Amino acid sequence: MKMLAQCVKNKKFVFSAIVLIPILLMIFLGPVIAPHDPLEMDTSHTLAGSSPAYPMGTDEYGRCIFSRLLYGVRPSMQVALVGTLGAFVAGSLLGIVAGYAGGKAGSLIMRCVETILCFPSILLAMMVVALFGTGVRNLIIVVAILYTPHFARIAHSSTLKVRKMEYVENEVSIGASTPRVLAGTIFPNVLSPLIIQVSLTISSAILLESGLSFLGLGVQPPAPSWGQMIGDARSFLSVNAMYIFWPSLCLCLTILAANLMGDALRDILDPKLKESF
Amino acid sequence: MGDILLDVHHVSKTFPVKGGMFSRSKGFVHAVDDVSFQVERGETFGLVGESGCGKSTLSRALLQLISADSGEILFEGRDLRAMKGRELQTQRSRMRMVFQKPFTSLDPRRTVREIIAAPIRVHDRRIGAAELEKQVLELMDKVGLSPTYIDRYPHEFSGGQRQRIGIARAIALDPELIICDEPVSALDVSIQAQILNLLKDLQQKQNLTYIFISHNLSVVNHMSDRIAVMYLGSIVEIAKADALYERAMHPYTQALLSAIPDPSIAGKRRRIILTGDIPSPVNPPKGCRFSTRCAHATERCRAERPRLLDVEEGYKVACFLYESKGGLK
Amino acid sequence: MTRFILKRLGISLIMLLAVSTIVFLMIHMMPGDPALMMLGGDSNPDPAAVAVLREELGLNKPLPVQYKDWVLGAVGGDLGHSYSEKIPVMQSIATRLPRTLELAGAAMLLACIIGLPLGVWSALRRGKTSDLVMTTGASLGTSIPVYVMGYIFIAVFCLDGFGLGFSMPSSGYMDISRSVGGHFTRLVLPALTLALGIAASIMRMTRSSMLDALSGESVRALRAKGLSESKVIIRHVIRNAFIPVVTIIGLQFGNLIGGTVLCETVFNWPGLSTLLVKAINQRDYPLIQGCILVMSSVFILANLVVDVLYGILDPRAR
Repeated sequence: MKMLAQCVKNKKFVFSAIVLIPILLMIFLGPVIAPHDPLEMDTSHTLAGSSPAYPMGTDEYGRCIFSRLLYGVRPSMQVALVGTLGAFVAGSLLGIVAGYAGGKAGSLIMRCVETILCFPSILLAMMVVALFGTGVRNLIIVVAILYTPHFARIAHSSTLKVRKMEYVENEVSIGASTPRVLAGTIFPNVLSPLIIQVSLTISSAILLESGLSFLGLGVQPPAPSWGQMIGDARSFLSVNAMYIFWPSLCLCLTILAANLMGDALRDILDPKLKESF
Repeated sequence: MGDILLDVHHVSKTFPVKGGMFSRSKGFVHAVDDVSFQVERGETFGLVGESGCGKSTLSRALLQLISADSGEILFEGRDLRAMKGRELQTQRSRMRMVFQKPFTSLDPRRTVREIIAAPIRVHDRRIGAAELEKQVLELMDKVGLSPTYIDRYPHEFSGGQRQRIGIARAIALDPELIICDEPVSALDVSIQAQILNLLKDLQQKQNLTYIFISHNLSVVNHMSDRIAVMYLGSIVEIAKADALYERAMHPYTQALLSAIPDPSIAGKRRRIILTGDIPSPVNPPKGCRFSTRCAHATERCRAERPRLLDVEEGYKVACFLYESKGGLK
Repeated sequence: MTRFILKRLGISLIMLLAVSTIVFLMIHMMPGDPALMMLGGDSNPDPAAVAVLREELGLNKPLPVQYKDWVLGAVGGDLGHSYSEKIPVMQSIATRLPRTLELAGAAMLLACIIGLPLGVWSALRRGKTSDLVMTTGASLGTSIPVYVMGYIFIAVFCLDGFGLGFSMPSSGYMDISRSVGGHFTRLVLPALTLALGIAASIMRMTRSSMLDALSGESVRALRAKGLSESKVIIRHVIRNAFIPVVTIIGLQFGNLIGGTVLCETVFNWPGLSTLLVKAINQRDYPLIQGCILVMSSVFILANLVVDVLYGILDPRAR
């Protein structure tokens, strides 16, 4: 397929894929590779440095950092991937319907959706968490709500352009029902910018979840999450630098890879967009 | 008149011009203003006029893509505007359109196969893949497209080929009437002839009736049996093609014809240059729409709108200059 | 022009209303009784105490009345009473707000000082090694979370990670009246941490906007006229490129506020965000509502200023 060949040629795509694929694999293979149970405490070896038994050392409860690292990817990825999917579905639907309907109805839908943008994202997330509790499920809902407007905006403006095209007129003229026109003709033609946004939203979602976990408002202990580990590690900077180092590195690499993937997709799917990077 | 396929009665369509903070209506564009005409089965009815005269709006209104504000559109005697749902859907397969821009009239995400098959699929959900392919190939053959192109994408084709795909799509459901909205305006001159010939060819083979819309009078003349001239939303003249070309009664038509560079015209036609500004379609002149630019305009022209009247058999003009010649329709 | 400002003002007011409504409603949408949550958490509080608190919070009044009271109160400066701190919410916020604003302001200033020139420079050096280095740096800058950046700084500058002899204070706040030097030594690191991520975004957008402007038709015409390259750049390119950058800076306010939340925690900067986190942990709902309302209002206000500024710079936007 031509698309695949283009992907492989793009350096950013290859780099991000190299980073992201192992990370995604970690989700499934983590439990298999991990040498210890991430919740198991070994009180005789707290805050130890790396050793054969504990490749990255232990935390303040004597838990294996390496194992926690491997398990920690799951909640972050769950929140990021499922939440983004939710935002993508909701946002695209709202944006396309609003764009196709046009007029007052369309504007009204978009105004309502855009009120979410009045809040800085982390504030809204904190508010939801404060009231409805923490945990992966609530975080997924928060991410989906927070990023719906981004997808909606893109879907809306693209739909406005596509809707005027004569091939859409033709679909209507042959008697295709409105859902058929929206799903079969408009949606495939507004997909490219939405896919780019998926990648960028995933990286924002990872940042958000890890930030919340860092503050103690995300994934709750004892279940591990990278942001949470960093938060816990901060009191022990001078004692065991590895504690804070490894989750930080993994987090940064993942976010960087997701961002680069977004750039790569932009290069591949829409070369008309000016080079912003 | 022969068997009338399409009978358009006093169709009007206005668009509100929005502006201001709350999208208040600032005025109305009278895109189509009290238009009436009839199209015989089997003929090519030409519709000519400059950009902005309302031809495209009219064509969309005929196909029920937009809803006219008033009037009747009788297709085979039945009013399309009164139809809904299933009935309208069945009628839709009998009136199709060939669009102007080859680059935006085809879905870039679909293959030729999918584009041509789409109308067939909409009207027959249960058709099998093999049967569908057979029909698509037949249609491609009729328009002169090689069967090897069936799985290619629109961007791989030239303008002329894309129009062929559009035409194949239009004849897919064996329609009665095809509205050709500037089908060759975006093509190179050499290709234009090919497509026009294809259209003529298909008309015979498939028993088609055409409404042929264009701003190019010579192309319209070449294709049409009868021609209607539109100006700012109204029809100002309808006549047989040859008669119109020779005698052009309405001052606007005369000006249009004079602008055609045609070395074959024996007595060199004097180029009529229109003076005055084109009135804004939002605030059309009270009387005759053309009065602001017409050399023969009188006070009456500015105050009253002339109606489309027969001046002789099969020749209608909307102009006070000829009123004495014709009676009421 | 005035119409434009009034229009933007109107929109901002509507946004403020929407925000306050959402914040107000949130409390009433949560599962469970707010008063119960505030008093008990996990244990079972005395029902009488719960009833008293409900009365105090006005939870027994009909919803529209509560809303009216709340909005009127907010406009008048009364955001309720903080349960955990035993003082009016407004008072808590008033002490802390200036500190957060100072941190955010310093960070934004630094971000512009760093990001804008680098963006211009890398656009002019497009394709060369220096450009590549900078764009990679910017990519990293937007990918490193604020708190990670913070701890890197702490490791280097406070704990002397590289043995360079730094030992800056890594936390706390010193009022400027006590010691100017002390105040700023504690401000520098948090502000810089916050600034770098935003500077990276600003740099990327400035670069892209500069590249657009450089390849524009008007520039070619100017060069053809014979203007020297530097004059072309300074007079025309930068001015044209600057306009979209203003929008970008505006868009960064969201990141800025989000960043302060994390930054204040890392450096123990006693601002509004740490107050919010504390309030959340203690389920002090009036305080939570107050903080979010104030922070969102600042955000909306900042956006208003940016929009108006944009309108001043670009007549087309009006």
